Amino acid sequence: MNDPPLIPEETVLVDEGVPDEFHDAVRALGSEWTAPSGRRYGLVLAGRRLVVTRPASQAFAPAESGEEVDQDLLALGQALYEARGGDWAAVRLEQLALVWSGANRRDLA
Amino acid sequence: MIDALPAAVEAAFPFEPHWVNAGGFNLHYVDEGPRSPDVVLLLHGNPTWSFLYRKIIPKVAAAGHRVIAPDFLGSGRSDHGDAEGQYQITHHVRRTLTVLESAGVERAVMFCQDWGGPIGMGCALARPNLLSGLGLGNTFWGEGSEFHHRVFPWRALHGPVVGPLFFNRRPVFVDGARLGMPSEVATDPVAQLAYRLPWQVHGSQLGTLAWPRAISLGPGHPTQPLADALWEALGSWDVPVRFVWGAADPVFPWHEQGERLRDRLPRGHGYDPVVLPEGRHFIQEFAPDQIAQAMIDLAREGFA
Repeated sequence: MNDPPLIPEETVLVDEGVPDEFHDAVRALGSEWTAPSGRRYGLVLAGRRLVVTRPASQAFAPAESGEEVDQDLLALGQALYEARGGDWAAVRLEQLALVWSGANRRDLA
Repeated sequence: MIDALPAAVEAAFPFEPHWVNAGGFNLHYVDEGPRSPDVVLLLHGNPTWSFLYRKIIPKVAAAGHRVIAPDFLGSGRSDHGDAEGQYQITHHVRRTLTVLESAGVERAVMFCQDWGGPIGMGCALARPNLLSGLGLGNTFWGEGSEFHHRVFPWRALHGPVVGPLFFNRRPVFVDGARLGMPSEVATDPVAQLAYRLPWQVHGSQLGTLAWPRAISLGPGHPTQPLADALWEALGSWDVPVRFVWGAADPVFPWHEQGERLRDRLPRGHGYDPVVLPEGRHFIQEFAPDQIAQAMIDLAREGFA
């Protein structure tokens, strides 16, 4: 029996509904992904459930703000969409958020 | 559950809360008007709650009808689940039936908007003697519209990682609901406080993410069997029907979902539909008087 790690990984985000069409994209990013900020995240896909973690090896790094983590997650989403390809690769998530916030409602029609 | 509302919200929504335990969750519903087994049932969608009917409830109750407006799991004052699986549409249907059974409802005329359609019509499917009249506005039967098949701006909003980020960690979708409302509501601080309240209180709103993912995009999707069953049943529901629909809604355009439903229902052409050119997705905020009158008329006809 393996002992549990002394410092557990920190779960950052769980997505319970990753469609099949994205499974190759997740695998293409690998089990550890580095955000443009330099922070590293673990990716574990089991069935349709994707868990994004901060690896235990970063437990002693300075704590980042929720805003910074969300920027990393936005970049992770963008990387997944680009790895998925097709129409997804063209989606710019900052623009999408702006559209939904009402900055450019004409894009919804 | 949200025990107490902020004073400003309560002033705009002055209805006594009612509660029922359904599948281990405390669900809230409004229950106004005289005690009767015949009710006007008002069903909301995503990401709103019974607050959407605040201007309609008093009018229907004043006309002498009992009005029930539930908050689905993860919405309004009701409990929130912690797993997407708890928000499957068939579970919403089952829990709504529990609300109706607890309230002693035997017959209902229902107004369905957005997900209120599949959930309300799902209740009618499960309880064949329940439905006495059907009011429809900017809704569907579980199959996605053309809008829902587009990657931008819809599917990308709730894709992997992005969905939990925009729906659960950040209120991008909840705040975006303003786009489907009249400007006087979109800029009303009390209304916006009310619509943001569940997210604000719980710090997230997983249920709002489960809903878009539950829209069927075709065969093999978990919601497709319900959509197929509803489409089949719609052709045999010989009940009075009213439509109050916003034509400026890119999600459920009148010419796509509205006219198909009208053609499908046996009495769909029995009355002229109310189609508001400037009305958008949350039609209750654009046409409360028309919806109230439609439901009063349906109750009179359906319960005769």
